[in-house]
Amino acid sequence: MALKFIIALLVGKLLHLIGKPLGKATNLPGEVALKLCPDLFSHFRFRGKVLAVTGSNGKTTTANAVAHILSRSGRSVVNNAKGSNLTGGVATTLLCSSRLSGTVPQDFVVLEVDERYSRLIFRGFAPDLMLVTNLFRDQLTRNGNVDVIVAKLTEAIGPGTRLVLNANDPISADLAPDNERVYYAMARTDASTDTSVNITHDAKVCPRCFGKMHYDFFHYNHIGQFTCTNCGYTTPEAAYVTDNVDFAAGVFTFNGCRTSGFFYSPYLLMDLTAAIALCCEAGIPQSTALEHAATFTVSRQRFREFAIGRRKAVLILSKNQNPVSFDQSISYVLEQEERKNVIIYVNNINHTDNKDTTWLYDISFERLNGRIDSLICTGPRAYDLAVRLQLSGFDMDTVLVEPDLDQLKPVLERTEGTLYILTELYDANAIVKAVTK
Amino acid sequence: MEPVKILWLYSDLLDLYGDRGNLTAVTCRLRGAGIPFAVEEKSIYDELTPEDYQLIYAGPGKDRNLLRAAEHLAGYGDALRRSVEKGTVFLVTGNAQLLFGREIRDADGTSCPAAGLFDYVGRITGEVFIDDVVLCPVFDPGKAVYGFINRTSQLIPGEDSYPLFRVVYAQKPIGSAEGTLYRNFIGSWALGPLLAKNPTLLSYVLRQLTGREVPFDSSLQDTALLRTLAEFPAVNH
Repeated sequence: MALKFIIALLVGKLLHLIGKPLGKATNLPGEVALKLCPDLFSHFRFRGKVLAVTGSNGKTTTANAVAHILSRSGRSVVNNAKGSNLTGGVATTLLCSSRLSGTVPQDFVVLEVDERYSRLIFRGFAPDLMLVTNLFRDQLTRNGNVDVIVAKLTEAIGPGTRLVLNANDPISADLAPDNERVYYAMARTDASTDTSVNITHDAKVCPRCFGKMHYDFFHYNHIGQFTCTNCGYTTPEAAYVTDNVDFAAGVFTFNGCRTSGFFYSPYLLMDLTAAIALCCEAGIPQSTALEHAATFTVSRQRFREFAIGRRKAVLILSKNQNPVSFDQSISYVLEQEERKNVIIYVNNINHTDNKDTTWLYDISFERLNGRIDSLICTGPRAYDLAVRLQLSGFDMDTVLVEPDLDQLKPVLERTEGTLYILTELYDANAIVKAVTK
Repeated sequence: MEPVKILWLYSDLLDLYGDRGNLTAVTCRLRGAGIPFAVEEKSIYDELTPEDYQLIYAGPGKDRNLLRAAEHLAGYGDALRRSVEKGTVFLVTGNAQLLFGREIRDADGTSCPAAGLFDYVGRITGEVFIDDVVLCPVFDPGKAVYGFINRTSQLIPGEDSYPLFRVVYAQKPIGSAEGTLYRNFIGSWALGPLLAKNPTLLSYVLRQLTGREVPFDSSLQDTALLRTLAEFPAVNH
């Protein structure tokens, strides 16, 4: 055992202990440990199985669902539950659970891993199973484009890793074709459409041959049942299939077994399907996985209802600069049968401060037109959102613009009905504070 | 009145981030002025007839897709050149500009011919360059325009031959000129909804497209742009 590893481990554990009350315990200990021992990851020895969850959207929900199912099944589990999915966060998770020998003793290590950082993390060790939820255009300034992410993931996936892939996503389903794989899928639901209702569609052409893609149906964006009209690439046969979905009742069939769960959209049910599939692949009996999947709920941090006086408010967080994530939030709003107003907070790009608003043009805001009482644009780029709505023919009598959060309250008082707040994770606290003050 | 015919070239292959916004802006203003229009989308499996259109738009795409589009477009060099010379409006953003140069050189050293309208060579480097820029168009030097550049390729020898913009502000070195304006061919690295963000550019495109001023109320666009420009320090707009 290398001395530098032991020192890094001890320093990391100590920093975790000290940092916990200060809220500095998720990334910093791992970052420091990696500075002291750059090949930290290669020193860990796993007694159980390592399960990795990556992809553009749904990583946190899926990984948390997996950890929930496994721990409720009586297995010991370590995971990075708070979405700290970069090298520092993963390192912190592992060093905190590791013994001084470098042994991670739990039955399962469940790691949510950022798709861009996966190649750096898995340089040191290979997961037994890797689940890829989906691949979409996402955070332009960080990710470049989908092909860049495919290249990074391809580099990260070692030959011994078995893949659990989404059969309804033509892009991620085709990753690392030489690796062993198993697919999960969702059959057509009442929410499926024959044509895409979203602007963002990253698989208009076949990822293999550039041929035109035909879809039998769409779940959302480019997720659905597809066939390339040129080379015949088609939705792979899935070992795990969700079917007969009743969104209102929260019930569905998984490989023929009727079950229930917390999901309010195809998007969330896809995540739940993925989590159950991964647990089954990890050796959990299907009936046990279904029993515990039924008690899983989405983090309050990402979706919560609260009251503003007598008024109902719903906070739905979307991934920053991620059109698909916002499209799903819009879908949820549209399903609610009540008077509703939507508040959208648009900031500059949070990690670079670029004033870019290109991503607003990839979100299908048009679907809200005529179906809500009002759309309130706020934040530094509020007027850019208003322009986006105006140019696409939105009824501007229903659009209110107030860039300044401190002035938002009087605007809200001019509206009636439930307030749906759509924003990014990083801006959530500011807007909740503004509407509840 | 004959409808204004618009072609969105390679809409399925070259569609990275918000590129639809440019055509949304144009069609919204044409609709508002009562000018009929028709938008067609064509790609690598289609025969192209550039002379049939008054506006041809191409936006940025993934490198792999761009090279496939280049393979297709290279065969239409003469037809495209004729269209440019007769005054067809072209709006070409981001790395789609590479399609109209002499050739495209990939990061691995391979190269493929491009349509050959301009003398520059497009070079795919893979190195990410991101910046906010404030620019002034040569046709209206007193007006400031905001652009967001996010690219992994370059034009060699650069954009000095027929510059579209004078660079007023950039955090990173991009030279003093940006973009291409040759007859009605407009090219720029500023990607996404450039026309939606900048009413000056939108007015210019509509004027060149219809031969007259297309009136529209740009007050909301003006406010959005001014608020953006105000966030750049020490820039005289």
